[in-house]
Amino acid sequence: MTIQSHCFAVVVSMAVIALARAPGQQSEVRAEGVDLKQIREVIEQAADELNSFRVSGGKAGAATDPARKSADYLWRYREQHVGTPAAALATRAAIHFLQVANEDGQVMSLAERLPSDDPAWDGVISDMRASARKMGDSERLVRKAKFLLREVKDSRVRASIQLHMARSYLDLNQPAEAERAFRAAQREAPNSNAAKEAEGFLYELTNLAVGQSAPQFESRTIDGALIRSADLKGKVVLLNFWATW
Amino acid sequence: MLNEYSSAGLVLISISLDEDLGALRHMVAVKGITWPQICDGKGSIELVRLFNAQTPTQYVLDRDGRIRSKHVGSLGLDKIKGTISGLLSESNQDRVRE
Repeated sequence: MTIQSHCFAVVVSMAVIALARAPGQQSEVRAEGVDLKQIREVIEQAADELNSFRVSGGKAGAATDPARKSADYLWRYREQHVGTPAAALATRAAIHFLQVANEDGQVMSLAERLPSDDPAWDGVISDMRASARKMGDSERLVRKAKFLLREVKDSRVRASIQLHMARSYLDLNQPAEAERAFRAAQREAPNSNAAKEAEGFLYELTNLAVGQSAPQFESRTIDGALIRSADLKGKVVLLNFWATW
Repeated sequence: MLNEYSSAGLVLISISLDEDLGALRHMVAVKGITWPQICDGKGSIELVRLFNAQTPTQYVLDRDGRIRSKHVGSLGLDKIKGTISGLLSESNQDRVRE
């Protein structure tokens, strides 16, 4: 039973659109002009197409999944424009589309082809982690992250690599190593998105581990009823966080 | 299956991250959802922070309020039904013994 089956697809395209609109890219828009704008539009269109496919019941990785076609286009663009900010954006999006289409083997092999100094690594490492997890090979992500951390200089990219290495440690059920890497992500680039995400995971490790008491809360339902966690004592409770979008 | 669980004592509570209460009410009506929906119409940020649940997430709590299972992704009962029925029967037996 899935009461929010379409929610996933929307989350996917929100992530891609967020990628296309990443604030760090704004100055590059002015410098690079048309190319970056064009690639943004391609990505937004591809995200819409993928969303319609999923909302109408299309399964990830099916032969008709438009994500694969979008990824092919964006990867070809990357190869023809290597070194430009538009190519970096196309690279992040291509790998992401492959990952959501469950083309995990291809995610891993294309990512392995990226040079260590590719600016796309900040996004690619996230999808590489997701694919490694699906393939049951999170160790591979940890090895790759450790290698990249010896090579990469950019502190924001380093923070993202630390973050996703930490998440792989969680996938491998190694919370102590995960905690160290989350803290490293915060030190690398304190105000980055990666650092903020790391903060959420550290909070979760400290306060929301299986076996711990759930946080206390007091909230109203849309019908005006007050729900207090204290009143739920003695009941088995399923808390389901979701959204209609 | 949800009905089966709720008659066996499971309390199901949804927390919606929606910012549009109208859209939420509409979905709840269309899907015939009967369990309580917590939502402040502003993304339920406090609860989302409290449970670090930016994406679809489920927590199963035992009768003492402890976290017994956590799952990230859309609500798929097959993934957590083992934990739930285990907790329900386990603690029902305890209660009989008491």
